[in-house]
Formats: sequence, C-alpha cells, structure tokens
Amino acid sequence: MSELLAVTEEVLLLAGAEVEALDCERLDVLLPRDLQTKLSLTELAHLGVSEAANTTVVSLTSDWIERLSSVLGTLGDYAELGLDSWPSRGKAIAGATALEIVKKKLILDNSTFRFNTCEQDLAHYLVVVARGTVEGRDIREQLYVVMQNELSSFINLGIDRNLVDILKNCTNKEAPPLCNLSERVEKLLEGFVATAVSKANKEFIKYSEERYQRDLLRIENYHDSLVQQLAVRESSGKLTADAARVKRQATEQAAKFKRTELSRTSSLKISAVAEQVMRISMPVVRINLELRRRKASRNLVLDFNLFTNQLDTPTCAMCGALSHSFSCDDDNLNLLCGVCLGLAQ
Amino acid sequence: MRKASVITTTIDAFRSAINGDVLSLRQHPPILPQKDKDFLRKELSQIENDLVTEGVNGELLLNGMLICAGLGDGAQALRYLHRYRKRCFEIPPVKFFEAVALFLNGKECLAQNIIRKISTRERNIISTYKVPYLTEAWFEAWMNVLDNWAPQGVKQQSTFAKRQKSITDEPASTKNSHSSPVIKDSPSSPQPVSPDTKLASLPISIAVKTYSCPAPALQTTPSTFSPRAVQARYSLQQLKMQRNFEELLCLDTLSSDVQHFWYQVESVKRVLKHFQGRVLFADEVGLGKTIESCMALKEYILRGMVKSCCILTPATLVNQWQSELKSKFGLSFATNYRASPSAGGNINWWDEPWIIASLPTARKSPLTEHLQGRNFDLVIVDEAHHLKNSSSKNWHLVNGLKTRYLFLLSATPLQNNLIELYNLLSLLKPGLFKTELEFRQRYSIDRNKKTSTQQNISELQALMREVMIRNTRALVDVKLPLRHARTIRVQPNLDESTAYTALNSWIVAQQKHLPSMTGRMLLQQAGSAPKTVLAALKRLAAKTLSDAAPDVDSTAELIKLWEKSEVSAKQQAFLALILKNPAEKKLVFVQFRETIDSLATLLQKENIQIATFHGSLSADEKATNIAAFKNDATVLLCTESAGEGHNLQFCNTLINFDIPWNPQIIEQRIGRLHRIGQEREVFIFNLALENTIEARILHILDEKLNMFELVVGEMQAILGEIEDEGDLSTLIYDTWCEESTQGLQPTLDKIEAVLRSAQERYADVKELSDKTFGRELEVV
Repeated sequence: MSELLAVTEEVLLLAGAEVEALDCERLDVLLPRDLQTKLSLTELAHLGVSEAANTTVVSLTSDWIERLSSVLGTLGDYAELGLDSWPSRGKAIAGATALEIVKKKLILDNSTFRFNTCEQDLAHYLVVVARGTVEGRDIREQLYVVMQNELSSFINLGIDRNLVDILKNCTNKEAPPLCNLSERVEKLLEGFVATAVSKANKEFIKYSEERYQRDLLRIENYHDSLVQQLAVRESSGKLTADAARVKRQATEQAAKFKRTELSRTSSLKISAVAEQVMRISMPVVRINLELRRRKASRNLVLDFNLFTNQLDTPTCAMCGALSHSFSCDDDNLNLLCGVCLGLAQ
Repeated sequence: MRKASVITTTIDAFRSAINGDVLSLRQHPPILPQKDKDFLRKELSQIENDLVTEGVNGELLLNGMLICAGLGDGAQALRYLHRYRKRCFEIPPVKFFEAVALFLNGKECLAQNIIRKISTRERNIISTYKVPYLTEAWFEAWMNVLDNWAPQGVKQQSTFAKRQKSITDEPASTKNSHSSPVIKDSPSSPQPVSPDTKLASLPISIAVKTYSCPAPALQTTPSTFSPRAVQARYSLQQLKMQRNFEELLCLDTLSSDVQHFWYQVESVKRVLKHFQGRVLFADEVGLGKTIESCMALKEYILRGMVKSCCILTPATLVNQWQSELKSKFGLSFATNYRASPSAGGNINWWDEPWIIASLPTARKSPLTEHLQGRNFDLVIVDEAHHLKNSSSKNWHLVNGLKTRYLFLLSATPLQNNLIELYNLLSLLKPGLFKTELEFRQRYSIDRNKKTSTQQNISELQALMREVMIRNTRALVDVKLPLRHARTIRVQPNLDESTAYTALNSWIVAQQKHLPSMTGRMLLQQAGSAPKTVLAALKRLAAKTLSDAAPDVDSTAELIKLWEKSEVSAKQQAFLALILKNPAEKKLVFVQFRETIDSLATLLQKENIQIATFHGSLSADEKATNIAAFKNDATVLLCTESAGEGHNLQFCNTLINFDIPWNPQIIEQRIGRLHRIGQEREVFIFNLALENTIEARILHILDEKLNMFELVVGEMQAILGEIEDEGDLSTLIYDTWCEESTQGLQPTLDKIEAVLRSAQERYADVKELSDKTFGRELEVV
C-alpha cells in the first residue's frame, strides 16, 4: 500500500471511520457525518491512488493532505509517552565502554572529569517535531526533530531516524509536571531548529545570496553607467549643469528605490514552527562524572540513550549551542562554549 | 561593576557619519553631553587609581576601554584593549569596541573589517550586552556607522558601502532582522562595479512561532493522545514535506472547465523555479497565457507565498478577468467596478488583498499613490505591451509598484523596436540589459529607423531567456478541427425596414437628449428583435414622461411603428435554420433577454426542446439548464455568460442570432466551442438583417478582415492595436453619430479603415516578434 494510502487509513481509523483495504491501491471507507463534511465525501466512499469510476483519488498534489489534517485536528500534537521495554544493550554499556564513549564526546579545555558510576535508569526527553522553512522568492521546507533531556538539557541527536521506531514501541505514560514547557520548546526552536534549518539549507541560502548579489550588481552597474553617461553629456555641453544635477538626483533616487525593493523582495525568512511536542520517558545508561577545575568539583550526569544508541550531546549552559569542546567557568563549573566563557568572565 | 549611568547619544552625528560626513563625527565627537563626559572622566580616573591600587583585572580594563570609546578617545581605548587582551579571553563586545576605537583613530577600513568578521550570533550578544556607562542606542548607532560607512572618493574598491553579515555565517538564534540600507557615495565620476566588489548581503530574518503549551487538563489526560495518533500526525507531516515545485498543487484544485496542457504546466514550473516569479509570458495568441499566469498565481497562493495580488488590465478585460478567476480558479477579486462581496463595504476596494484594476484607472492620482504605497506579493499586468514606453504613465505606475513577484502578459511585447522590449524586461530585472544607450549600441538599434536592425540576436535571446517565456503553436502542436462560418443575410419585411429607418432618424434627431449608451443599445436591440427594441422604447417612453426629454410624441410614434413589425424576418430565417437539422444540438447566442424570450416562444410553438441560460438565473438553475441541454434539449438560448465554467464541446453548431458590435465578443462566443476538446468540425451561422449596422459590421469582419478564419485570440490582439481609440462599439456609435447626415457608408468605411490598419499593424508586430524570438524562448 502506498504511504499516503496507509496514512489515510490510519487517520480515518483514528477519527472513527470504518476502513476496509480492498487491495494495495484502494480503500472503502464508511464515514461518520462530521468526517463526511471535513473530507467532502459521502458516507460510503471509495478512495484510490489512481483514477477509476466512483473513486476519489488521493494524491500528494491535491488538497487531500490538508483535508486529512482537518480530520486529525489537534489529535497527536501533544503526547506523554513511555518506552517500557529495556533493550539488552544497556547492560553491555558499562564501566570502561561508557568512559570511552564520554571521552569521545566530551572534550574539556580547562578542566578534567573523573568517571564515577554507570547505571541503568529512565530519563525524560522533550521531543519537538518542528517545521523549518526558508522562504524567499522560492521556498524550502523540512521537518526537524529535536530531543532534549529534560534533566540535563542536553540534546540527543539520534532521534531523527529513530522517532518512528520509538513511537511504535511507546505507550501512554504520564510525565512529571514541567512548568516551563512552552519556554523550553521555544528555546529549542530558536537555538536548535533555526540553526539546523540554516545548515540544512546552506546551499539554497548561498544560491539566493548569489542571485541577490548578481541582481544588485546589475542595478549598481546600470545606475553607474547612467551617471557616467550624464557626466559625459554634461561635459560635452549637451546638458546644462542644473539639468544634469536634477537627472543625477532622479537616478540616485531610482537606484535607491530599486535597491530597497530588491532587498525586500529577495530577503529570506527562516522560520521554525512546532508541529508536535512529546514527552517520552526512555531507558538510558546514566553516567555519573565528577567535573574538576582547580580545587573545585561538581557532579555531571550524562545519559546514553539506549534506543538511539547515542550519548546526549552537552550544550553550552549560557547560549545552548551544541558543542563537544567546553570550558568550565570558575564559579559553578558550568559547561560553556568559547564565546560564552569570555562573557562569563 | 560600577554604578550605571544613563547616557544619551547624539544620533545626528551618527547619521551624518553614515552619510559620509565622518569628519564631523571625528572632529566633534558630540557623542555624549558634557555632563556625561565629565562623569565619565571621573570614572576613568577612578579606574586608573583602582588599577594601581587593586591590581590589573579584566573588568577594570574593559570598563576603561568602553569609557574611552564613549569619550571618543580611540587611542586610549586601544591601549586598554591591548592590556585586556593580554590577560583575558576575548568576548564579542571587545571586538566591537576595538572597531569603534579604530574608527575614531581614523582607521575606518580596519574597523569595518573587524565588524564584518563578527558573526550574527556574536552580534546578538553585543546587542544585549549590558554596559553601565553606555546606552543601547549608542551601541546601535555605532553599529550602523560601522556597517554602513563607505569611504569617500575611493572609486575602484569601495564605490559602494559594504555591509557585514555573510550569508554563510552561523545563523542567529534570535528574532532580529539585520536589513539595513546600502548607502552609496555619489562620486563625481563613477566606475562600474567590478564583479569582485563585495555588495550588500542578502537580508535574512529568523522567526520562531510562539509555542502554546497544551491546556493542563489535556496534559493530565494523556490517554487522549495515543502514540498511534502521534505517529499518524508525524507521517502526515512528512508527506506534506515531500511536496515541492516538481509537482504542482494547483492542478487538482482547478475547476473542471480549466483544461491545462503540458506546456502550460511546464511553463508554470519554470516560472516558480527558474524565473522565481518575475517573468514575461509571451506565448503566441490563443495558447493560454492567462491560464498559465492564473495557475502560477494559484500555486503561489496554495503554498502560502502570495497573500496579496494586484492585476492590471485594459479596461475592457477587467470583468472578464474577475469572472474567470472566480469560475475557474475559485478566487474572488475586487475590481474598480465592483468590490468583493467579502469586503462588506468597510474597506476601499484598492485596500483589499486581491484586486483587479484597469490600467487607465490605476494610473490616475490618487489611486496610483495608493497602489504604490502598499506592498503586493504579486502584480500581474495583462496586455503588458501597454508598458512599452518608459516615459508613459503606465510604465511609471508599474515601475513604482512594490512587489515580490511580477508577471507581464503580452503576445506582442515587441511592437516597433527592441527598445520597447527593453522597457518591459527592465521592469522585471532592472539592469539586466544595462542602460538604454548600451542596449542600443550592443543590439544596433537605429533610433531613426522604424524597425530596428537586430544584431547579436542570439546573445539577446540568451538574456531574454532569463526573464521571458514564449511558447509557439509549432511547439504546442494544437490541431483544432476545421471551422466553417456562414452568414445569412435576411431581407427585412417592409414594416421592419420602415421602423428601423425611423429609429435611425429618431436617434440622430434626439442625439442631444439621448445618452450615447442608450442610443447604441437601441440600435443594437433593433438589430436583434422587434420585441426587444419595443420593450426598450416603452421603458424609455415611461422614463421620458418624467424627464421631459427626448420628445415624447416622436417616441410614441416610434413605438407604434415597431408594434406593427412584431414578427421579424430574421426570426423566420432562424426557425428555418433550426428546422433544417432539428436533431443537432445548437448553441444560440443573443445579446438581450427579451430576444431570448421571443425566440423561446417561437421554438416552443414548433415543439423544439430548448434550454435557456442568462445572467438572471441562479447558479442552480444554470447548472440544471446546462444539464438539460446536454441531455434532452437541442437548443440552448443564451447570453454571453454561457459557457463560462462549462464544457460545451459536445455541441458543434453555433448561431449568432445577433451580432455584437464588438468583434471580441464574437470571438469569445466562437471560443466556447472551437477549443481543445472539440472533436468535430464547428459550424457558425451569423444572422443579420440587411441594411442594419450589424450587417455592415459583419461584412467588414467576415469579408474584409477574414475574422472567422483567424485563430481565436487574434481578434483581441488586433483590437488591442486600436486600444487608444477606445472600445470598438463606442467608436462605431460615435462615428455613426458624427457622419449620420451622410448615411451609413462613410461610418463603415472609417471603421473598416481603422480595423484594417490595426490588422496590418498586428501582422507587422507578429512578424517582428517571430523574427526576434524565434523558438528560442519556448519552455523546452
């Protein structure tokens, strides 16, 4: 069955419709009244991926996805879930292995760490599915998934390709209250997703920049040539000084208008919008470290996620930027990136 | 940190610095008022003491540096900076203060280089940096100076201001936009910018939508959000993202009446991807430029990239655009004739997001200022060859509009010489063809010759490919079935003839009292059916009783004359025509409701099944009647509105019961049947009463201009050539009134001359276009 048809089937079932798959290309659906309105279909409808008599064609190029979205409403935009199964790999990661993983992932410039303990535990993650868009005269849009450890605020980068697997293994599980959920989500959007959008669309942004520069150069050359031609006409006496001045001013004004317009119409807007938010409790191997700088020390907890098979990547305590290389400040031994360390001092 | 102090800045000094007057800033550093300066000096001496007594530390050095920068003492600020760097980590504000200090020391280029290297993220840190001595405005003003400063008198390297912020920088995690104007010096002898000169960077803004946490009630009952629902939603989101410009979204949303073809789909994709929404659609006549542009409009709307649009057309096409956008694309536009129903009368039509305006209306003040004062996402200009002259009001209007996307539509963008094309294309991509003088020199345009001798044509075509698309019939390979036209001239009976002559004389006599529109309509109604003109005369008589003009007695006499000729010879001829082949479906066009009624009575008497279609019917009634025509009825009696939004190609016979004075309407009628999808040969019958204006017009159109052999769309193009002289039907009436004393023939001769000249001009233009564009600008 095509992916779209499979999703259609799932959404309709969730919304309370009766669905029967006739074959891999067709569905027969019996719709409740509210769904009939939302989908603009009759009570008994035939859905298919190709044209046939009495069949409503579902395709990516139609507004079918929008209609399905309206059926879904707010369903699935927020969830509190838990992964109960405990992968066997958890036991394998212990002691020396954990230390090796941490050594690869955490480089400290002005401090050291000491491995303390390593134990299996449950960690709560905040998972945000965001729509990142770069919009200029053209548009690029993509989904981004970011997973943040609620305890440490560190980011786990393995979520993108594992989210569907994780969701398949999840059940509903109430998460402990989190008072600043909205702020956390927004911070993730600002700090992480917006950066990811820019990086993912680097080529597009570069291409837009080149295009803009080319168009701007044309405008500049055009108006320079005009001014030059005015100067020639003025020097040859074909134009009086006053007339030349007026024309030069008009040319400047036109150039300014065109530059401003070009800048406005070519400008890029990068946006990040949260589409789904989940709080998932997941099994981790919790690695307890002791962070040391001069005479000071403190505990640092790093989680190794057993589903994504990745260690949470630490983030700067000040700006939230991802990094593997950190320095500690003198007061609280917070992990800071190079830029923020200077500020903190 | 030391005690904070609010220090005001003199922004004017920075403004003058931005404008190139760096000296005034450097010579008179009035950055701070005297009292603040005094305070800062005290602070500075305190810092010096502290450095001696407490020992050197980064905080004191940093404060010293920023106080010196605030006081305008660049040299001392730099000394503090060196000392600070020896001991402390560098933080972004240090770079900024270094740039300020260097600038004050006369090293502007170095200062600007430092500022350019500051990434967006660091910039944001600087902007939020809390300083006890200097205000945020001070920071902003200095950032502006450093960003926009441009050296004076330096021509080659720095003709233009250079702005910091490389696109490849790590993006900021804030919501700020850093677009600022590029400031340019006005050198006495400017040099063209060399390609390697760094220009202003592309403005990029970052926006993050605020996230609203679900209600606590929902959070505590997570069972309503099953993993299945989450997964389904996620999958749906992923599918959404798979859609790109490779597949058009608009196709499935178009009305079933909109037939689109592969070349149109390809053109739209090219507009979106290659031209990025700034393009001249120059397809040959009849290939559907309007459909292409509307598809692109719809696609942009569906993708959320266009939220406002202004369409500029010749006055005669405003209503046609409005109705086609509504019926075929489901888009409601307000026009200068009719506000959109959704507006509710609270808003001026020109302030609505979707508007259509006629060019003559839009170019008048104050509408021009209104339109130029707002930002549109898309502007479409139909018949864009009206912008061929860069000194015209039309051109200036469009040139002054603020729009991201711009579609120009014209089958004949090249009318006399390449400069006209230059003027059009410069609207789309300013500077692409350089200056007019350079363009003339490069492409050998001789100002004195009417038609240009074109050289470097392939180079020009390569440039045109960046902004223009022109599909030809050769590419599209559209083969329509043959079309046969036959005119049936009916000899009027005596009563009819007498009444018609009397009406002519009456209109001439009443010219002063009679509005020209009424006179024109009466003549057209007389050419249509006696009952129609009779009804109009009676209405006029009733009105005249109250208005006392025109002459009541003569109107009554006229009514008596027309009452005598109730059965028209044309109606008899029409009936005979229908009965020749009663089983064949026939589409009958008439101009007036009364004529429809009398024809319906006539046909019903003969037991011929009919359906009617006119503007007074409701949408449901129209649909029912069209279905009836498709299934049972053999004749559809309709006004001009028929066929819009309906497929009528199952019928292949068209009868023009009356002849509109505007040939464009006749062409539109033919286009209802003779279009792609029609599989049988099309038969057109024109009925006209001898010696009426309609019969003479038909004679000119058919025999002199061969109108019925033209491709659908060409007549409109020909009429476009006489646009300046106004609507053709108005022209006919005005000429007829002027020359009425000498009979009808001089009028018709004049009209014929106008139309012939327009046709010749169109032929010239077409030839020139074919020669210049060839097939180089086709979509494939």
